[in-house]
Amino acid sequence: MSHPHVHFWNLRRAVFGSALGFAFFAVLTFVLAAGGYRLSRSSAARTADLTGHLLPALGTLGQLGESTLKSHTASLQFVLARDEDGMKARAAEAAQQVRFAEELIKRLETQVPGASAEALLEALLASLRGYAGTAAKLQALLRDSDFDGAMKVLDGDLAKAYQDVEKRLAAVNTHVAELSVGNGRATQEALEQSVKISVTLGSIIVGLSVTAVGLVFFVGRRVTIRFNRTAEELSSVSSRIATEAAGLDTSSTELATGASRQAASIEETSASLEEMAGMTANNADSAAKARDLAARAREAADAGSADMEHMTRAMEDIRTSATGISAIIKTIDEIAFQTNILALNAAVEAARAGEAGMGFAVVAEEVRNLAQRSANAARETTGRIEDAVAKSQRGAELSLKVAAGLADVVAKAREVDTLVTNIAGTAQEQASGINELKRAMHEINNVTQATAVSAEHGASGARDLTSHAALLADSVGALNACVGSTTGRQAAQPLVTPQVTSIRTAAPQATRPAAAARKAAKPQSRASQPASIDF
Amino acid sequence: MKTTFLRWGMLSLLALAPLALRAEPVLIVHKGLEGQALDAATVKSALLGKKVAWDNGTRVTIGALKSGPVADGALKAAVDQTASQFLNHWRRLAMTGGGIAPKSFDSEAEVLKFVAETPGAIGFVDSATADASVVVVKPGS
Repeated sequence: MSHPHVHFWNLRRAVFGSALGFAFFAVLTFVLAAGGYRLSRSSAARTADLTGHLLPALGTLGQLGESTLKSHTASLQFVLARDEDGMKARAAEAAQQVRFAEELIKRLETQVPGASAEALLEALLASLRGYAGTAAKLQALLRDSDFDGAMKVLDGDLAKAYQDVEKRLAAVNTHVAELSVGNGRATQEALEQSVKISVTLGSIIVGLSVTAVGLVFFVGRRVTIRFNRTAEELSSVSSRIATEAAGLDTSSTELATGASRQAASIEETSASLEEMAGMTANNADSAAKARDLAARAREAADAGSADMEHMTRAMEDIRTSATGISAIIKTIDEIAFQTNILALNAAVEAARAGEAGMGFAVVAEEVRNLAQRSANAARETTGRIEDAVAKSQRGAELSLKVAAGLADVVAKAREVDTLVTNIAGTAQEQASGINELKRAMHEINNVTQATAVSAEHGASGARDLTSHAALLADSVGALNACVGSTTGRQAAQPLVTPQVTSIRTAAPQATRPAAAARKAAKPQSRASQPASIDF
Repeated sequence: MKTTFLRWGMLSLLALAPLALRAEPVLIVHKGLEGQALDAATVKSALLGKKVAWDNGTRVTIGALKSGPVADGALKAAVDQTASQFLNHWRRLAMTGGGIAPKSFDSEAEVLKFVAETPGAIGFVDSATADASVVVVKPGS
């Protein structure tokens, strides 16, 4: 923001400071008010004493003075009454006033506490009774027409008695007045204190009021300035919202279209999945068959392995018997050697016998040939047998190898069996997985449909947003009016209204103008981005 | 004994007087006033306190009966008042310093004695009571 100097003045800080100041003064005010209250309470108690006892006592004293005066007046009027009726009436009034005065004195005894007051009132009562006696004496004399005696009583005793009453009354009056004055002085002192406190409080309150008014004015000015700026920002924001809403409308429409296309693709995917599910089921069947076959192959391999073992044993037997044969043939060879040697010996003997042994020589020759042939045959047989032994050895070795190979085959066949079993299980799982996939795809289809509907709603929401943006612009105008600015309102109105109409009438075509508006709004938005909440 | 008898006799006489003697009240004055012109107007003025001194300079003093037919009759004739009215008149007058208050008595004898002994005094008694110690002024003379 381009107002660095206003950053010093933070509303929260200002309010906090003011609140702190006001709180301090509130505490001060409270303390002073408490003191004032305490003083007022004591003053009130004194005033209550004054109003409850002393002032009524003064009133009663006034009445008492009045009634004694009336009594006296009635006594004097008795003297001057025209006739007996008048005399009677005056006498009655005088007596009544005296009775009333006695009642008043009794009342005063309750109103004015204290021993001195009691003594004064006792004296007053005695004096009053003396006066009443004197008045009665005067009346008696006058009734008796003893004018001289009456004159003496009137001028002397009665006047003295009345003066005495007045004196006593004045003493009581003075006493009550002193009490009242003492009370009043104490109350006055308390009131003076109260007045001081009130003046202090008033000064504080006036000061606070002036400060508060100044503060309110200051804050109001600041807030107005800030509101003004905020209103301007709001107007720009509302126009941007309108633009964005238009863009949002388009996006929503695109989203709806995309969602329906997605739904179609999902339909296709679903069909492919169906096929795949069929294939997977075939696979599973084949795998099951392969598993059976593998099991059979394993059994066959097992059987072959057992046969191979038998064969190996047979080979071994052959080798063993060939060895036996070889021994026999060796025996035959030895026999043939010895026979050869015997034939040689016979030939030598025949030669020695000459002619006579000529025939024998031939036989010996033949035997020697036979022996040689036997030896050859034996040799050949030996060779053959050795060959056979070697071959059977090799055969045994081979059969061992074959047995090992067969064992390997059996192991492999077992593995194959396991694998094929696994494959069959997996194929089964795959089939169920694909079924689930189908269900999921169905769900996706539903969701996509819902998305399409939501996109529709989003589009209508974007339209609503546009109208709300218009409302916002109105509100901004109202805010400007409230703040007293005219620039913000004028700025806010034309920015929003045309866009709203364009969006409402030509929502699908609004993409390009909205984009353009967005481009146009971008630098403005960067410029009017609020840096902080400082004022 | 004798005085008691006399008193009773006088009392009975007094009681019987109105019936027996057709008595009438008379104005009696102190002997010192003999020869004074005591007409009705003068007497009235003196009785009402308007005339405080006689022509010879003595002060007017009234001896009055407190009540009774003699007093009533005499005052009726002289000042047109009853005894009570007369005393009320004088009470108001005397107590305000308006003259020398009348001496009031219960009996005619006391009145007679007072009038006889007091210079300038006047009073009313029954004609039968009046004697030579005072001057009796006939009504109308």
